[in-house]
Amino acid sequence: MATTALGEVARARSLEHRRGVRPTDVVFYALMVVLALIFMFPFLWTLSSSLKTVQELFDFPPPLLPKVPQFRNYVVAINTVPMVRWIGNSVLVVVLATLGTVLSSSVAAFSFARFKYRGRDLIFMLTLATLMLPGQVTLIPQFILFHEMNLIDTLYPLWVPFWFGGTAFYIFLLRQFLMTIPADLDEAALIDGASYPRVFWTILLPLCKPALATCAVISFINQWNEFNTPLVYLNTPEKFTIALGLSFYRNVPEQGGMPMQHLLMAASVMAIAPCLVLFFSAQRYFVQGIVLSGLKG
Amino acid sequence: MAVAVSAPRARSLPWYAGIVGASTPLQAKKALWGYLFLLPWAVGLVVFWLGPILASFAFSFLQYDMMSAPIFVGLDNFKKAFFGDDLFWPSLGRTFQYSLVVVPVGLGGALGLAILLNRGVRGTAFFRTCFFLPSLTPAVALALVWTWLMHPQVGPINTALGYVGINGPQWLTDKNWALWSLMIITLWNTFGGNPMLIFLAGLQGVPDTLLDAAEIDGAGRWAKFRNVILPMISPTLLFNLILGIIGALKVFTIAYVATNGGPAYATWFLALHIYNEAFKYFRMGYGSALAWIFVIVLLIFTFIQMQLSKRWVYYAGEAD
Amino acid sequence: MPNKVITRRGMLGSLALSAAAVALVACGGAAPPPTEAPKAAAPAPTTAPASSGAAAAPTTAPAAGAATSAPAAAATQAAPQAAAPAAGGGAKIPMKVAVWEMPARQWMTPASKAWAAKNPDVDLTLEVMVYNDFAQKQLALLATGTLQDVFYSGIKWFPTTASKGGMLALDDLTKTKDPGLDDFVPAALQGCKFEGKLMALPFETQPGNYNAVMINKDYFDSKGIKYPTEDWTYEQFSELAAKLTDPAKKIWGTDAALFSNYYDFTTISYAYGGSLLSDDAKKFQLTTDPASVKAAQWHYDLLNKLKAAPLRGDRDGLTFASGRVAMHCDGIQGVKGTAATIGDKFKWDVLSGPTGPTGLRGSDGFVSMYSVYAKTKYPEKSFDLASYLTSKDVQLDSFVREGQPPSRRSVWQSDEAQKVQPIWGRFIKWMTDPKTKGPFPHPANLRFAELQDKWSNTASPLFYGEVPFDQGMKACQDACQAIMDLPHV
Repeated sequence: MATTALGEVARARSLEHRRGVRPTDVVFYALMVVLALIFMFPFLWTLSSSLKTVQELFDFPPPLLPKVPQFRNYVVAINTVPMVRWIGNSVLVVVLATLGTVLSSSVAAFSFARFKYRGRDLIFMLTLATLMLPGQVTLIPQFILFHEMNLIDTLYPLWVPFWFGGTAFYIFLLRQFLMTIPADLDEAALIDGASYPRVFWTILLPLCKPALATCAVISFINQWNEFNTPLVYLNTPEKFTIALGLSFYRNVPEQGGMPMQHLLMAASVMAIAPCLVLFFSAQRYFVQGIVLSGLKG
Repeated sequence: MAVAVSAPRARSLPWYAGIVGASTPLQAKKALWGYLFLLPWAVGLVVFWLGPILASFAFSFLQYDMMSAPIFVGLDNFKKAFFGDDLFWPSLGRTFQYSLVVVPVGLGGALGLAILLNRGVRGTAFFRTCFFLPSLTPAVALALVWTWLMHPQVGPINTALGYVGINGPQWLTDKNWALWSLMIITLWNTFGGNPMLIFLAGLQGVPDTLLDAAEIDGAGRWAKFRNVILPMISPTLLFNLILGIIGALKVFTIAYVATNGGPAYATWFLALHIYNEAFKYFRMGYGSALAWIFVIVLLIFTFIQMQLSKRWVYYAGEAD
Repeated sequence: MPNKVITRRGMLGSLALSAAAVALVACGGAAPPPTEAPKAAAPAPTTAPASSGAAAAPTTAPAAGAATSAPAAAATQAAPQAAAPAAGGGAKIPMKVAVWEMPARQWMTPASKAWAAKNPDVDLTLEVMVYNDFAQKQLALLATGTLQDVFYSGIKWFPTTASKGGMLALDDLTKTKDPGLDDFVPAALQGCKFEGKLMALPFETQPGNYNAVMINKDYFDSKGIKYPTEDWTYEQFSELAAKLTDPAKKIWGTDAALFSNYYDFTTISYAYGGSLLSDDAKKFQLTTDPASVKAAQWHYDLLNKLKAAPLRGDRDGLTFASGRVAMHCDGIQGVKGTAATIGDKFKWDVLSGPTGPTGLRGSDGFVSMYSVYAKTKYPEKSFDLASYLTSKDVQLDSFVREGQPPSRRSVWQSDEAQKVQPIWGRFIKWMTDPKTKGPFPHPANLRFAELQDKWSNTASPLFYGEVPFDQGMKACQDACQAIMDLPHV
């Protein structure tokens, strides 16, 4: 195979990047820095607000930075509500749901992408249709279903469905990726006597790594921020997830009580942090491109 | 198919070949494998989705508040939507208007950023994280942050506009600008969000050898993009397009937390209308009818796109 | 190659297995994950300004009754059932109570646990219901018959739940065991009735979201203007606001927006001697009731003629604490919180909202209440819990912790309340004045949420002067009357 040739191309490319700074690079970096600042602004504002005193938060115009950073806000936010417990619950749900999503939706995607059978396109359209129905109208019937299964106020409704294909989003996404992989590859393996599960596991899945990593990250973040499902299924505070817990800091005038915006901001930062760490550290999997070309030749 | 030729002995078709839609023994066997791989999702589809979907379909013919006994009303809910609800058509129009801006601009921006980030230069990981940050902000904090960002007097956006001599609008509080404000917030969140990640994954699949070959052939940047990159990522593009349209037409959270549909109904989207009807006004039947009208619109859209996609999407590994 | 495959498969498989095992433990059993801090469930009153540092619950409990119960509450924080000594060992009564808590109503959890400690025969489960989302959640719970034995409501959705048969009528139970009905503010008790039957016991009540006026005394002094007194009228209020407005310094006389909700506006209608909703609650009277027209004209002029209050674009983020508002309209329930945002930036005071031309003050009779689920198996026990949660000791605790306005006269008038703010004594006079109109203006067809949405989308263009006055009035009137004409929900 053409692996050595490919290695050389890759080496040549990385060498190309190591040579001196070019004017286009300066323009590129300037552009990136400006864009990064624009995109980071809401987060930076959240971060700075989380370190303000209540009085500073209600100043007008609000100061950009706190006079003295109030790290105490974080302590109070943790102590006012069971933050640690909620983050633990979230981690549990998110890990289980993401694992289930990646495994089961890739299997379904394999079926849609590589096989032909009666009813496939109809089932596929039905699959897409599940994405279209606004969640508000299926929520109550789904609630009744889980109630019948006696699973209300447990974490099961939050992750078990994801071991059965999860949502159509991931199936569709992985199907699209599988369909970009040349069919010659698996046919060659089939001729060599490999079984379909083996083709799926040893040939296609490794080739899909960037897509699987993308799915995992999207699933992780969606699950982490999911608000409606835990709201409806969970009752006792020990079982809450962090996204649901944040809603305790929302306030309406008739509710009165003490101002909590600084705590909301601190809690938000704490809720964002794990996702941020995950995203930053999982990045190499997106860029770890699988070079298909040589195999096709 | 090449494999079929290598098995020349014509075996008789198995009994189930007709049922699975196969015309050769090999196809029949393959179809069985296909069903087997579909099984987990099929179970999930039936257990977790089919019931609720059918239930909501049945609700759409009922007058039902979830607490009292339902009353069958035939097509009244649908008639009401089309002829007797002065919020339905405007909310549908508003939703389309929003999608018409958010989908193309959002996809273009996401693709542009993905291409910038795919150059793999030093610091990319950091930039990628920066761009992704907005989509991590919890919905609860979103409203608070954006109310300030878009504050007419002291918000950074209008302050920045002021430097270049533009008198910024009143954004979220102006009924002529509220919809545009929500579009901007959405775009801010989507440029570096999931669509960009998906494009990045798609770009990873574009073989370097193809690009090198194109370079050797003397193709410029645009030609490379148009003739190599675009066809290779077309399946990803189709995905982002379909999901982008579905997501845009289902726009809900941002309007729910930032404006609650106002001011003066300026951001009263269809999904918000459905939510309010079903949950706030206790009209589950009517809400379900609205949802089904919505699904049918979306299904038609998606079907057309899937058909059209056959002309522009290139699949290297299509099932046959 | 095959080795690699097996490794990966093995790894994924074991990962899945271990993950599933963790899930089973965490979801099924009571065993908490090791990371959990044991005190997590107990609300730490660190936000209450009264207590400095990480003082435990007992130090903040004010009354003798609450003080004795508080240690018990602290001891039971992890699981209520663990607290009750297994007296007799017989099967316990399983009950559920809805609390709205962390950090909004910090008294509810300790109070419920204190009751559970006193009733060892009950196995009480606390379910947290967030106020903003309870309407949606209540729908799901009612649909499956899993509503709590004792649950709270806001006046906004109380009649809907009552009309759907979700609440037990308490009239007979109160005859057997009087929870101190006479002590409740009459308007609050009135708000707990549905079709003449008592469906709940109130725990909080207040006259409206904007009927306490906080004034910036430093700013008054700098302008050399005398502070207003309790007997002021709406006309005097606007004159004062106009005098206090300083466009050069971008300081507004007031931030009054009593048109945010139709029930807020009702309070000015009442004060002007009329009513926004007809007595049978079937007609919307914005343009047909002369008093309501006058009230609307007053508010329109305040914003558009006197320009003494901000229009839409100037309103966002404009806080009293920033010193840019001379007279801030707040709810009495918000005074304590707003005070916390001011800190020591300036001196302030608070007084009752203005009166109408004939000395009347309007109240929208806002109530929050505890009800007993109609299908509970333990009506007496549930009623006992609801009575406890609305008792004087518990309300005093709620008031001291968060400044929530109590539903009992004795608490409003208590020495503790007077020590915090003299205004409490004045407010209770207002709320118990028989001339004060109420109760909460629910439409007869109970389409509260729809009416409110219609109002907020049609009244704001009117009062912000985005449409001519007469045209805006008519548009708002027609849209709201159309909702009132719909059939009963």
